This record gives sequence, C-alpha cells and structure tokens, in this order.
Amino acid sequence: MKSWRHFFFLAMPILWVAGLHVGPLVAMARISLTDVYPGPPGANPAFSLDAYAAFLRQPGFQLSLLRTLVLAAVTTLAALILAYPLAYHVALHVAPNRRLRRLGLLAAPFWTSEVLRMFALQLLLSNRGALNTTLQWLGLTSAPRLLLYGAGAVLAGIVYTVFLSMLLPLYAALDSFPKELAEAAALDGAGPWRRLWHITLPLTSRGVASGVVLTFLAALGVFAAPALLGGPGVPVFATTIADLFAAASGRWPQGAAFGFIALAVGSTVAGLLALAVSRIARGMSSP
Amino acid sequence: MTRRRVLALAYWSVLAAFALPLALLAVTSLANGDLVGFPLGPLSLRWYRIALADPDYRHAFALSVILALGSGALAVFAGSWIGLAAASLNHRWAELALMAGALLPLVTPGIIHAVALRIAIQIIGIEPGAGAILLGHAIHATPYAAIMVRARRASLPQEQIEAARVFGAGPFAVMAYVVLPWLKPALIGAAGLAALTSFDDFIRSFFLGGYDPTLPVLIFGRLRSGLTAEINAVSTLVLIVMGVACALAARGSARLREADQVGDW
Repeated sequence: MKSWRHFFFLAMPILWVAGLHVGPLVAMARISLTDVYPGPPGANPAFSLDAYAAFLRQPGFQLSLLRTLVLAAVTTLAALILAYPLAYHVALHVAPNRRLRRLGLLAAPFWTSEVLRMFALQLLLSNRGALNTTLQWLGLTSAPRLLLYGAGAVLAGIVYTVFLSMLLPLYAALDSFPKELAEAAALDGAGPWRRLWHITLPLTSRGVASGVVLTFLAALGVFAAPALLGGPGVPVFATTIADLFAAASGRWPQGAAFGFIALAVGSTVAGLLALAVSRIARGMSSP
Repeated sequence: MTRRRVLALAYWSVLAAFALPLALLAVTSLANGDLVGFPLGPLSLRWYRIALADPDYRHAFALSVILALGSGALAVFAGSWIGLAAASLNHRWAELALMAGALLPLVTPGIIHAVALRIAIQIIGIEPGAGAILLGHAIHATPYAAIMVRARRASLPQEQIEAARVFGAGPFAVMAYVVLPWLKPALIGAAGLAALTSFDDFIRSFFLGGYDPTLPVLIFGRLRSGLTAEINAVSTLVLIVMGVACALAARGSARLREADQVGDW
C-alpha cells in the first residue's frame, strides 16, 4: 500500500515532464520524418527522409546553422569574460548582507521581456539612435553609420538576452568556493594573478562549465534578437526555422528536421565545451 | 585595494551599459514627434494618451497577466511536487535522475521547445491560443520551482517531522502542518519567478498563440510592421509596473527572511 502511494507520488512529475517536454520533442522527431505536414485534412503523412536531405542539399540551411553556432560561441565567450569579474566582485568584495541586493541590481535589466530589451537596443543603435546622434554631435562622423542589421548588432542583442544564464552560475560558484585556500596562498606569497589562475578559476570551474553550457544553449534558441536587429542579411537558425513554420505551407517537416539537427549539434558542442573547461581547469590547478 | 576599485568600477559601468538602453526607452517615450529618435524635439505625454486609449494593448496586457498568474500557479504546483518527490527518494542517483529530467525544459533552446510544443498541440488537436501558451509557460517555469523547493526542503530539520509523527500525525498532516509551512518562502519566490518568466516570455507565446497576442508578441508585431511611437510609451509603462512589482517583492522577501530568522532557533 505504501509503495503504491509512493509510486503515484513519483509518477506525477515524470508524467508532467514527459507529457509537456519529452513528448513534444518526440513528436517533433516524428514529424521531421514525414513528407508533408500539416497536410490536407484526412490525408496521412507518409514516411520520408526528404527534410534531412534538404538540409544536406541546401547550403543556405547549413550556413544558417553554422552562423548560429559561431554567434552562440562568441556570445558565450563574451558573456564569460564580462560576467566573471562582476560575479567575483559581488561574491568576494561586497559585504555579505548586501551581496544579494548588488546581484539583483545587476540582474534587474534582465527581468524585462527580451522584446523590450531588443527594442531598447534599436533606440541605441538605429540611424537616429543615441549612439549615432552622439557620434555626429562630436563630429566623429558626418552621416549616420549603419550599426543595426548586421552580425554585430545581433551579437550585442544575444548577449543582452542571455547574460543572466552566465552570471548566476558564476556567482553561485564564486560565492561558495573555499576562500581560505586563496587566503593561504596569499600568505605564502602568491600574487593576485597566480591566485586567480591556479586557485580561484580551477575551483570555480564547475560554475564556469554550467554557465558555458546554459549560455550556449540559450544563445542557440534566441529569436527576438536576430528578428529585430539582424535584418534579412543575417539569417540564423531561429529565423530560418520560424519562416518554415510561419505559413501553413506544409514545410513543417523541414522545420522539425532542422530543429532536431540544431538540437543534436548544439548539445554535442555544449558538451564538448563543458569538457574543454574541465580539462583546462585541471591543467591550471597543477602548476 | 586598487584591484577592488577596478572591479567596482567595472561593475558600475556594466550596470550602466545594461540600463542605458532601457533609460533611452523611457526618455524617448516623452517625445511629441511621430518619428522615434534623437534629437527628441518638444516633449509631451501625447503617446501615453494614444497608448492608453488603444484597446489592443489593454487586452494584451490583461491576457499576459492572466497567463502569468495561471502558469505561475501550475508551475509551482508541479515544481514543488517534483522537488518533494526528489526529496523522498533514498537513492542518490535516482534523485539526481529525477531532478535532471525535471531540468530539461531549462536547458532546451527556447525556439526548439516552442516549435516542439507547436507540433505536439497540432497532433493532439488543441488550437493555438491561451490554453496552449498556459501549458508552455507552466512547463518552462517548472524547473525553477523544483530547484527552489528541493533546496528549501533539504534544510527542514528531520526532528520536526519525527516529532509530528510521534504525536500521531499521518503523512497528510505532516505535509500540511510541517512541510508546506516550512516551504512557504520557496513557494512564494518560485511563484513570483514563474509569473515573471511567463509575463516576459516571447518565443513560446509567439509560436503557441492564436489571434489574441500577449503583450510581448503584440509589441514584437508592431515593431516589425514599422516603428510606431506609442510602443515607447507602452514599454515604459511596463517597465514602471515591473519595477514597482520587483521592489515590492524584494521588500516582501526581506521581511520573510527576517521572520524566518526569528523563528529559527
């Protein structure tokens, strides 16, 4: 009787996640293997590998995925370099009772919708935006420079979308690592850079690894930034897949296949990045 | 000492850089002209009047609030169930597996999850619309609730449960009078966070929505169809509402923490 109750207690959460997360992913895999979907009412979609063949045949698709992977990797690196010193500052230099407030302040701009943040970036970068107006006022350019609608603007937008995915794991790691070790090394005469390189970074490498994985995967799936800041010249995975789903054009199988390929490639790259971080950390901790 | 100064300076400059675009949003909303941009020209509240008179924005805002409350409640219910189920497992690996499974929605790239859900509701035969968005937002926020409840549950002293059992409390009484009161701060925090992620969400609402857009989807649509200046006013109003809500939440959580420390002997 007791085990039956416990079984029910455990089955509910599994059903919830299976039904709303794993199930849809399986459905996506299934649709990616059909010829036309959604087809005309009553028609049964037939098995077909066309969607995957189309990915291999059309360089546009491959380029779009490659661009997405590069953008996500650069975003991850930029967010890491930007977030680590800030998380370090809050976790080690701010008084304990004020830490959460400091962290919350830095995170506050990210509590708004990504659409609002991208719109705000447009106001900074557009031809009549704040940056161009300032540049012209200073006399640095005579005509407005095109800052929007390029890879640079998309990159800024993605960083501005996913930064918290890096900041929070880094802060958690820096807040809890054994600081006595760094203090002991300081007493033994190790300089600040050596302490950072041989003690702090290796000891927080798990936080770095989870930040890298979370940020990379989040950056892969960002849609508002390329849609609002990229223009038609910078198609990425998210905008390509959205186009395939937009109209009732029966091209869902291609979108589903594309989504599946991106998920597989993206997870593999994310795993390799995490592995690389832990390898580097091991190399650093042994002087 | 200087290293501290450099890092403090970096902190405040990055914070300023992150806040600057949002500040521009608020400033430009006060311009009177039809074109969004600088120089601002004469200032007025004209676009606020136009925005507040637009029924589309009112409907979208109402829908977003309803979805935030509904999906927040669902996510907290499911998430705390997962957190408590994980805590009830005796094997470390089983617990790890359950929590890892529950965290999947957190790591899946947003657009892939959204597209997968869109396909799933098509197969089942659910029309795109508020119901589909509700489920999408709820599963998306479930991991946050699961993590927060699991962490809070781990700090509950086992003696309290044993004491309640000694006095004859059954499993349901233990849950109602010992476990849930202890979880209260985590439940409130998770509900707030879940509601926030739902209110902010764009990608799931975009793919799962029907004809009635949520507020981010409506703003996205208007942005794509060409800059209309009332968006600045709407966005600024949203920023103000969220700022007030976050300030209230921060004050509330500080009070909760104080009460917690008093009760914690």
